[in-house]
Amino acid sequence: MKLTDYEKKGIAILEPKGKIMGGPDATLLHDRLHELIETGKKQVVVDMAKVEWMNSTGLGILISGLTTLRNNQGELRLANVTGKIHSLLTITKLITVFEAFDSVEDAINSF
Amino acid sequence: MEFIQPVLTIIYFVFAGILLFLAYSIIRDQSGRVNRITAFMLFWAATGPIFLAFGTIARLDTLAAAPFEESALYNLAYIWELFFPAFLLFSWVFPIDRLSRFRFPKLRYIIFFPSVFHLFLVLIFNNPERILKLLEDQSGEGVNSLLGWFISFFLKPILYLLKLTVLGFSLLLGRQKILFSAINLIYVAMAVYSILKGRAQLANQQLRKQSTVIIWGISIAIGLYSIAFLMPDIFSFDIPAGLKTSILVVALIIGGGSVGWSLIKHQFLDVSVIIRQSLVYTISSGILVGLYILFVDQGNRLITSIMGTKTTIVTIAFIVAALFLFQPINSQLDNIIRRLFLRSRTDYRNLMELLSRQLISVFDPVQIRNMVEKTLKSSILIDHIYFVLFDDKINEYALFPSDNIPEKVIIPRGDLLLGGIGQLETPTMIDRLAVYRAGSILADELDKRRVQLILPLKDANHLLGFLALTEKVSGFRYNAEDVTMLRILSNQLITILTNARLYADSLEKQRLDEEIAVARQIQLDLLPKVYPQTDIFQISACSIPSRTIGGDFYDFIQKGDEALGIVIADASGKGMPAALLVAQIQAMLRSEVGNNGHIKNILSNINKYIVESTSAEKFATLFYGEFNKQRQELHYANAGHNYPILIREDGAYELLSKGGILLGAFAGMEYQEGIVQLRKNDILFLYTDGLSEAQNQADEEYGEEKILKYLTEHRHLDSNEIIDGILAEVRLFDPTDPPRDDTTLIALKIRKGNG
Repeated sequence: MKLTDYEKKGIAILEPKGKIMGGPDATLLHDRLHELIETGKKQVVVDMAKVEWMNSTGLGILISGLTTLRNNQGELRLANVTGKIHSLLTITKLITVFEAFDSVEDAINSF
Repeated sequence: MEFIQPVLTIIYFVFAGILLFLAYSIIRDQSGRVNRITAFMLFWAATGPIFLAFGTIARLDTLAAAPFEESALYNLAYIWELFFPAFLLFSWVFPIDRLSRFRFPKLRYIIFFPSVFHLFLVLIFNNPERILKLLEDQSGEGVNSLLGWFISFFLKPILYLLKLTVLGFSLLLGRQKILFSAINLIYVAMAVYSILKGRAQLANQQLRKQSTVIIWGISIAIGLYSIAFLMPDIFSFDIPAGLKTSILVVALIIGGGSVGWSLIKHQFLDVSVIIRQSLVYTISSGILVGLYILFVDQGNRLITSIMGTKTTIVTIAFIVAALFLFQPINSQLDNIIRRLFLRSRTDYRNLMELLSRQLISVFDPVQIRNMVEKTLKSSILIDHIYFVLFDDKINEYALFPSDNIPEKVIIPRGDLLLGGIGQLETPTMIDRLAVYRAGSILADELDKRRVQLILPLKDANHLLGFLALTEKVSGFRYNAEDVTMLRILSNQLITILTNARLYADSLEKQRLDEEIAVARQIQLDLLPKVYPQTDIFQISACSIPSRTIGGDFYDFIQKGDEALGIVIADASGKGMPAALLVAQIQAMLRSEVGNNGHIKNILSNINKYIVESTSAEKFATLFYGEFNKQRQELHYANAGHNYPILIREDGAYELLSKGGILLGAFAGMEYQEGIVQLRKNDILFLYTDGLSEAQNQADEEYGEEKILKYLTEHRHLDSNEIIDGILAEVRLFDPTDPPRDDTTLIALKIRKGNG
């Protein structure tokens, strides 16, 4: 997994790319989210457009990210959730907890 | 008995030579105080036989006008007496250096005064009458001038004083033998006492062995000398000249021999191997030369007495014989010498071989340290050895306990001196590391232990630790030979320590493997071993972990006579953490089911418990259903698990999705309960994502559709045939073995409808 991020309208947008699996990926995303919280950026959109696949550890990263942000009065929203990722979130019913949007723009505007 | 004189001359010269050579060997590559003083003593000892040899030569020369004993040259022999104060001085530094603790250090010079004075007396005043006459002549001259008067005015009292002194000296001269022999005897007694006292304080085994030979050798030699020469002078008795000479020769052999033997065999005064070997060669060639002279001389006499004329035939014969015999004798001698050194513990190469042979089979770090310590103490005579090694148990560098300081000290990784030592490649004196001392705990600890030399142990990547060596016993310096040996030792130690660590790692891994095998067995024991089979349904299941232990589980829970609980679950992650989580969930589920709770409450309780007891990224998907045999209804709740497939006899299917979010991620979640009616020949198929996410070489997933297709096509089969069949098909699709992810399947087939 590669991780890039940028800011738009005061909201941090994370762009993971590839497969979100266990190991170093977990710490990379986790650490970045914590850095954002520390710098006061508590509204985060994760753009899932370029995510090919996510295993249970990958899911765990998103879950803990969301929990951490919410515990800090922040919010994590998903954008471009499609295909396999969407069905994974559906089966696990995580889709009921994460707010998912069709585009990054929509996600940003939802805040 | 005429031949005895030249033989004695040879013997005296040979021993003088040996003593001088010993003195030279001792200071050649060591310049410590003990070495200097010992060499000094041996040098004066050598003057004795030299003058004896001159004496015998002079005696041979029948043309000499005056008897040798009365000549001034003979009196020069008294210079030998300087040996006695030198011996006393030696006793103050060997085996323990006490000289530096003397309150009155000038004493070391004062003890030489009597011998020097004696020499002065016998050389200058050996003929007092002549001096007195000289003085008379001076005073008897007339006063011719003012200057002459002036001189005589001042000189007269001085001359009288001189005359008195000379008279006193001449009185002394008559008794000089008794007086100075007594002083020398007192010196000998003091020196022997001092050496014995020092020896009692020795702890080092090697040093004790050395000193035993030296002390006995020198004491016996001087004792014999005292009996033959000093005692007769003091107590005025006579010993036959022949016996006197024999005693002297024996004393020389014992005295010189003991020093030589200690040098060679017990590394006395730390003389290097090469010097010690050449010493043996010198002594043996000296003996050969002595034998040669003896034989030639004797042979000549014999032949002269028989044939009447002097002939060189013996010399020629000897040389011819020597030419034939020299090679075999020499190689034989060489063998003896080599064996002498090979057997000794002083040959570094052998020592290293021995040590590495012993250590190669030792993996216990404590034992390794003890063996290295013992070897270094006995071979290089080091006082104390300290080990600073990386301790895997605490993941830090530690200064290990030693025989004198029993505490273990942890050295922080950022320690400046430790960093400095990490830069070293070779044994280095600690003084050279002065720039790294500031604020270093290690530096303080090493100072406390008086460490002098650092021996780094470094493998290709990092510092394993180092050996910290104090000074050598008796304050010897580290010589080039020691440093070479220490360098070889450090290389071997690196290998040995690395081996020991690998061994410990493999033991640890073996222990972990055993633990995992036990965990695997526990996990297998937790899975149902007997499947509930009735005439109403048949049930089959299978679980394959992707590692030895896995994060999947399934269970069948009997709920009275009328219902059977079926559960399948998949915890996030793999291996031990996942296994611990599923074991917890299984226990909670059994206890909740036992309490007869509602299915939706069971799941929300388990969810609550996992949220409270683990972090957010630890979660599990779980499907729990209760099959009522009478009503043939399945009540279920699906907590985020892959939808189980219910496939009807006619090929229609339902996905059992009702329930709620996966367990353990979010607090306060509610779950819904679903109900489906089961009929004859229906198949309920439950699985974990290890099955649906199996991948072929093109990275395509096996997927839900293929599962559904397989079930549709094979819905007439028994439950166990379905399990085996779909596993075989997935194996063809994705031959990875064990599977990439834990894979668990359950198939329930209804055999009998109730209406």
